Amino acid sequence: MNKSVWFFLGTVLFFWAELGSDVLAQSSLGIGRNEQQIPTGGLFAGFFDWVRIQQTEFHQSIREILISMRKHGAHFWALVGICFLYGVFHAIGPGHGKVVISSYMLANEVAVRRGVMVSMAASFMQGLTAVLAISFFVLALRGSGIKTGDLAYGLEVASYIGVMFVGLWLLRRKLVLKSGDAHHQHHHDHEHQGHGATCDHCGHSHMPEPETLSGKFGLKEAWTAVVAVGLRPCTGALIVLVFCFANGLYLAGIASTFAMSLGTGLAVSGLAILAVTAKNFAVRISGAQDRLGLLNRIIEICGALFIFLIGLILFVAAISNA
Amino acid sequence: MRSLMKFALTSMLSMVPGTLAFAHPHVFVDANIEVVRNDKGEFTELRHVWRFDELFSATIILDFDKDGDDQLSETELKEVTDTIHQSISEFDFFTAIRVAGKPVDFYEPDALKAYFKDGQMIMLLEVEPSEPQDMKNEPVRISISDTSFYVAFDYDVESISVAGNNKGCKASVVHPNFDELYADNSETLTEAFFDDPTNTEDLGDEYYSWATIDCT
Repeated sequence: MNKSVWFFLGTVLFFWAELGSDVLAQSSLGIGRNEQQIPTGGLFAGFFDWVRIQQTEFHQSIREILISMRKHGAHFWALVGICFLYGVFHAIGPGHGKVVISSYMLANEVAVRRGVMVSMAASFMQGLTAVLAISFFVLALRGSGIKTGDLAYGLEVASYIGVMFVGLWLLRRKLVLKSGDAHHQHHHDHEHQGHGATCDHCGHSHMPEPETLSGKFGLKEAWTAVVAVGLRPCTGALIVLVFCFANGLYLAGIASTFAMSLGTGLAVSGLAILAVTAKNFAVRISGAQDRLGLLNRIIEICGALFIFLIGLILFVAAISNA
Repeated sequence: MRSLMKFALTSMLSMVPGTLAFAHPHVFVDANIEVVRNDKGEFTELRHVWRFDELFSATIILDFDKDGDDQLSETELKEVTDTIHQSISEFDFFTAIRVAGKPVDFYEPDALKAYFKDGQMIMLLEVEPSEPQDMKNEPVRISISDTSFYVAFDYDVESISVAGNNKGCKASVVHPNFDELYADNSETLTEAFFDDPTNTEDLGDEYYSWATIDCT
C-alpha cells in the first residue's frame, strides 16, 4: 500500500519535472526556431542534463554522417540508426508533446494498448508534418521571402491552439457531461413513462455512451490529440531534412525523419504506459474506500486542466515572442 | 502578456523543485578569437570568425536564396547578416569580456560580414572595447556563448590568437564541468531561476567556456 502510493507520487513528480515550456521561441540568431525547453531540475536535474549532452552528441554524429554521405553516398543505415537514438533521447528530455500525450492518458485512457497507439501516431504525425512542411517549402515557398522558421512558427502556434482545445474539450467532458449523468438517468426514466419511444434523438446527442462513462473514447477523439501534438515538427528533423533535400539525399532525409519518429514514439509510449499504469494503480488501491470513483475523476480533471494550461502557456509564450 | 506568461509559468514550475533552462543546441559554430593589442600592449579589439555547420548553412541558403540559384548574392547575404546582427544584439553578440573579474563594455559592432565556403557560412564580427584594456597586470578573459543554448560555440587553445604585440602571451580555455556544477549549486540555480525564469544569464561564468589570454 505504502509502496504503491510512493510509486504514484513519484510518477506525478516525474511528469511535473517533464514539463517543458516554450519561452524564447524565437532563436537567438533570428534564423530558425529554437526548441525552447524549460527543463527541469530538482530530483531529475542530473538526468536531464545527461539527456541534453547525449542529444548534442547525437546531433553532432548526424552531422558528420550526413556530410560524409554527401561526399560518398554511403552510411545510410548508420544515419537511420543514429536518428532513431536521437528520437529516443529527444523524447525523454523535456518537451511539450510527451507531456500532452501523458496528460491525455491521465485524463482519458485506461487501456495501455491505446496509449501506445496514440503515442506512436502522434510521433509519426510529427515526422510527417516535418517532411510535408519542408517539401512544400522547397516546391512552393522557396524565394518567396518566407522563411522555414516562419512556417515552423505557424505550425507551432496551430499546434498550441489545438492542444488548448483538446484540454478544454476534455475538461468539458469531464466536468459538464459527467455531472450531467445523474440528470440523464433521471430524464431517461421519465421518457419511458411519458413519451415512450417516440423521441428518437432528443437527449441522445449528449447522452454519454457506455464507453465514455468508463473512460474510453472513440478513435476520432484520440485523433484530435494526435493532430494537435503532431502539427509541431521537431527542429532537429527540419534541419536534417533541409540539408538532405539541398543535397539530393531525399530518401535519407525522409527515412531519418521517420527513424526519429519511431524512437520518439517508443519513448513516449513508455511514458504513456507509466501514466496509465500509475493512474489505474492509484484508482485500484483506493477502490475500497472510494466507491464514487472520486480519485479517478480528480486525476482525469487534473490531466485535462493540465493539457489546457500547457497549450495556453505555450501559445502565449509563442505569440508574445513572435 | 509577458508578465502574465511569466506568472503562469512560474506558478506551474514552482511545483518542481529546482528548475533550470536548458535546451540542446541546434546550431554548431567553430569559433576563432583574435585579440588585437596596440603599441602599448593594451587590448583594443576582438575579432570573431564564426564558421557555421553545414546543416544550418543549408537552412540559411534555403531561407534567403530569393532568386533560386542555390547561392547567396551580396544583397541576399546582407539580409542574412542584418537579421543575425539584429537578433544577436539582444544577446550581447554572444560575447562576454572580463578583466580582473569585471565585465568590459564594448561598442555595438559594425555590420557583420559573411561569405560561404564549401557549403559553410563564415561570419566575421569585430568587437571594440569602449576603453583599451591594460593587459600587463591582468589577463583578459573572453567567452563566446549563447545563453539560450540554441547555438553551441566550439573553441579551444588553437582557436585563439593575439595580433600585434604577442610576446609572452599565453592562451588557455576552460570548459564547464556540469557534473560538479549540478552537485554544488542546485540551491543557487533554483533561486536564480525563480527570480526570472526567462533569464539564464545569471547562471554564472562557470556555465560557459572561457578563454584566458594572459600576457602579464
